[in-house]
Amino acid sequence: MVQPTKAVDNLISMKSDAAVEDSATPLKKRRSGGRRRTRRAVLSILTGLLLWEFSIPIFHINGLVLSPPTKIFARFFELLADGSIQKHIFTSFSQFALGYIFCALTAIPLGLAMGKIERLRDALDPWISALYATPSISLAPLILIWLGLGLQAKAVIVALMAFFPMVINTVAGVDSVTKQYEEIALAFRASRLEQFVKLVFPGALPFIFAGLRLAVGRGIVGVVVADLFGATQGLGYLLIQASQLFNTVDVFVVTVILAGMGVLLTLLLGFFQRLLCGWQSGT
Amino acid sequence: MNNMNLPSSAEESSLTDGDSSIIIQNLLMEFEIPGSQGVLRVIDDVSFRVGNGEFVAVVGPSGCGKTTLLRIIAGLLKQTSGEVSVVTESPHTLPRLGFVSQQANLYPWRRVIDNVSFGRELKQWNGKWTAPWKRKKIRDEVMPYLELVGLKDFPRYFPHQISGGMQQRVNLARALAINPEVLLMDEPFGALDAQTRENLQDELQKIALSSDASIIFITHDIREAVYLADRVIVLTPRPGKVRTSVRVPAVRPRAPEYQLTEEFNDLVRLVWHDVHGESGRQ
Repeated sequence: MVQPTKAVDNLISMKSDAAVEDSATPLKKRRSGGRRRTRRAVLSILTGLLLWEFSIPIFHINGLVLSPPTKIFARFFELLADGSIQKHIFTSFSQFALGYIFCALTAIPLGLAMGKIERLRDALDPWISALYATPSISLAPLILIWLGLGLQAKAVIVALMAFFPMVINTVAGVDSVTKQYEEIALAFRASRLEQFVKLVFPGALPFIFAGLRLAVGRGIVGVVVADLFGATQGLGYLLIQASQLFNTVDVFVVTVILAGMGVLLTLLLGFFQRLLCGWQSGT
Repeated sequence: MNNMNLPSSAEESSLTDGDSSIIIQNLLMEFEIPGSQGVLRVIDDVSFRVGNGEFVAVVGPSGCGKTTLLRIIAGLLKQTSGEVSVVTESPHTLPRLGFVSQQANLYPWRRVIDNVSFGRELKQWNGKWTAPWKRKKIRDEVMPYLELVGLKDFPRYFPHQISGGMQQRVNLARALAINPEVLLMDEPFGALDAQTRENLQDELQKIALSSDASIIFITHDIREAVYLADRVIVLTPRPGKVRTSVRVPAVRPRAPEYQLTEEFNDLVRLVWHDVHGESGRQ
């Protein structure tokens, strides 16, 4: 009968579906768009550094107020060469890493649980809102009194700073998995565990990554500020010493190291996000 | 009216338990009205049967509880009272229900092929837990379903990279991949453009015959109902009751030209009057 040829016709017409071409072109554009974005970012940074460098001689700015980038980088390599800065970087980084990882391991499961279990959310929401609004750093002196000036205390302060963006974003991520998606899983008789593994977690993942990125910044602030309340080594300690001696260059060096740390960690997270949430590109 | 417009009870009596695949008896569904003590009756004493391999379309004015009815059968809602039973191969297994929603609702983080395999990965249909790294075997198993809906060239695409019509094909393939005994379809083509809808209607006819699943197809489009179904059940405005059950005698699959025949247009007119009958006079 007529049917078989019809079927073939349909198959052919589907392949040439206009939408396919629509989606194929942006794919290419996106890739070159990424390169363009990197180029603009690098150009912007270089321009900024140049303006900074040359504004100092042009406007006769005092060296105590502002140091030129060349001097900052020279000083950084000088400190690296005489080996005096490594231990401070290592101290601060291990404080940060310990606190951050500990925080992620508690905040993300807690956020997932709060997103799924209404009672838990109702019970914890007021605490989270209240503690998020208070500057967690005001607890830093207390924590130093309790735990001393060592690794533990600093890691706890980092964790405290990083905690809220992680929890709040994870809860938002669970909420982003809408009822319609859940309904499909239910209609297919997915068990609770399967719903969690195949639906809630992958759906919440982009938000979890957003939380992790925000937490990097807050965690680094935590490391430095904790040192302000008492420290024997670390980048914050170095910062206080330099500022008390009006050593502007060293203040800038420490700041640049901290900024670099933040950038590197954010890039690393971005890499993992692209690896795990590839579907997000172009949405 | 002519004799095709049988009251539902007379129609049902021709089906016995043996060749029924879905039996719905005295189904009643009420929702609480928000902010008051009252209840809203959405489905009122609905009974009908669907035969093995039968294609039943349910039509009715909007708000008559069509979608609610389907959601109850799918197990997404619990009825207030009444019975819904889906006959299975063995009494101990859950019925294999394929669900096709109006919006494709594909998981955006899964590629097309992994969306199709979603149901197949579940313990319920696979018999065991599937580790994510063992998905390849399931991907291979579900590939024929992707082919069946005409998307064999798109397994690696993400849902946002394909058109709405293609997404709806994936939605259909996802339901077919668990090899359903019963296919529940909630206005699956409602959100598509006319051309895509026609293509998919013809695809569905072929798929329906090759899979021998029983189908309940909810639609507000009377022509679509008559074109596709063995039987069209018309619900009254809220609360939904079965008003009539109209048999469409033409053999499936039907060519698109069937929609030009007098028989088709007579049936459409008949159903149209049943749908609009009371609501038209209100």
